[in-house]
Amino acid sequence: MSVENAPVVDVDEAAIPVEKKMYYRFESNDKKEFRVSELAIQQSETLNRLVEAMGYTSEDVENKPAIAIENIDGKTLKLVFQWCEHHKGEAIPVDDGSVPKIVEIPEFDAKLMDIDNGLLFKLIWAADYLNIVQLLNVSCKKVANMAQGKTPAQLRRVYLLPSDEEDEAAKRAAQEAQDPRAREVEEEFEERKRQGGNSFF
Amino acid sequence: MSSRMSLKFELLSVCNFGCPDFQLPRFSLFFICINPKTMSFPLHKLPASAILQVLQLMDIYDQLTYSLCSKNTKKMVKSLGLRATTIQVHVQKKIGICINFDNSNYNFFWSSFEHGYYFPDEEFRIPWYIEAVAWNNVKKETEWKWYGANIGIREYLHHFIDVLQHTRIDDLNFNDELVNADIIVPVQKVLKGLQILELGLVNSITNEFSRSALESFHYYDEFYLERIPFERHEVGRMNKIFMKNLWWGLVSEPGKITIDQLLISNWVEIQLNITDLTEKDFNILLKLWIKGSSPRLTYFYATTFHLLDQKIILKGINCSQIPLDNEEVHIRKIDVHYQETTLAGGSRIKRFDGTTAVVVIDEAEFKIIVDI
Repeated sequence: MSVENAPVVDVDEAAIPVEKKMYYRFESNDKKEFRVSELAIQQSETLNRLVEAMGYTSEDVENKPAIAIENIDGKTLKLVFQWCEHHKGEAIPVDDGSVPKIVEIPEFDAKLMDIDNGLLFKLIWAADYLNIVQLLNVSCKKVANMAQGKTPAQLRRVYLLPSDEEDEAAKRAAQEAQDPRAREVEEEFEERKRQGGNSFF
Repeated sequence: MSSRMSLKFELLSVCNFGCPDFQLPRFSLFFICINPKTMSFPLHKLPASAILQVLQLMDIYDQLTYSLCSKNTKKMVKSLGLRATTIQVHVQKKIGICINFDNSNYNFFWSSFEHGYYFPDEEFRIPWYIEAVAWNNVKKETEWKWYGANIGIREYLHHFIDVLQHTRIDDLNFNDELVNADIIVPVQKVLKGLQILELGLVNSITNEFSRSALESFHYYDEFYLERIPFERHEVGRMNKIFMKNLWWGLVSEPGKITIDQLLISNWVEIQLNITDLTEKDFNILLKLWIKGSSPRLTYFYATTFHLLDQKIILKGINCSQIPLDNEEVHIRKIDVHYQETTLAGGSRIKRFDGTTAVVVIDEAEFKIIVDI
């Protein structure tokens, strides 16, 4: 099935399919609405738990406002739901902890992810947030493939990796942003350790 | 739209999707800029779980390369718990570091350095560039040339020893006639603090170089030599090598080795590829082994220039013949491979303490395989 034919439908663009299947309505942070089948929702652990907890009936879906996903935009959410519809009913992979992990990118997913790196970045955040295991796998695989055959210097550029100095500065900034009282306690503790005391009390 | 695309995730105060009992975790507030026209991707701005996922999905060779990017990336790759089967250092026109990842020896990451000019007592200078190539079976997986790396050979080697949590250099191998003895101290400085399992001096290495290397590297458990580099009158220098309590030693052209040197050796496995030892020498070796000589020996192999006479070798030795239809097989592990020897037709001998061994004589080959 091509990306274009995936059964994700913007409400204002096409007719709502009349089926017995349950469809849920979601709204992105830029107010785009999507209808997504119950089976497709199961690919997202987060959304699946959410709709289970809400206990919506078909009537509720129509009468109540669309479920707002406030931190994902319409363009990203469209990709997410296209992916979920295409892969609905498929088993969710279980991480066996093996390294390197073996993940193949199917043709549909490759076409779906033929996007600029900005959108790919948002897609990974969304897949992680919505806990869509296989979408996270394939999108991360695409990012992992960017490393192929690169020197360390090239990898630093490709992945915008901070230098040691930048990492140090970030660490210091994070420490400084800590609660001042916690920092005082920490400093006092360090001071006592230097003086040879074992206990704080 | 400008060429720089701003990407922003909103801080989500409470996201309950209209359901008061359900709350999604919060996103952190951040701004990043990605230029869609470039191939860059801000990996470290992803959630920690996704960064780990990306890392786990890289080929092992790319993981190693990524570990070289910063202290932080080194720590991340180390946390993956990757392991190498062997790490080898090859000294030739270039210095090569070979990291093997499986038992076949066909899955490896090879890095090489031009050592260029060096001073005999100093560390190698930082190379202009580092070349790396990785193979998996017969497929070249990756290849790069890193200019301006600003990393020394010692630093590079110790980096991977640390990342892969490897404890030693499995093979230090000199194999080019053009390397001269001045290189030994710089190589020792590279390897300082690391245990060497095997020292190899092969191919067209000169006798002068072999002598220096054998007398400079004192601690190793195994070695293989192309030929004995000492003259017959240098018995004392040669004997020092035989008294090293090695686990394994292989000499391809051991012409000058005498039975006395074999008897003072306390090696566990000895392999002499073309020796001028005689049947009488082997007979003495067996008789003395029965009396308790070479107590650590588990495997002895020698080939000669001539067909061996079993009667002379076993003369005066109490042994029992293993029937020809016997299916007993001895399996010996060599590095990462296994070698099988059929014991049928061999002769079983017994040492004074009850330990038994099988003597296998086949044309010009002579083997002692101790039952353990």
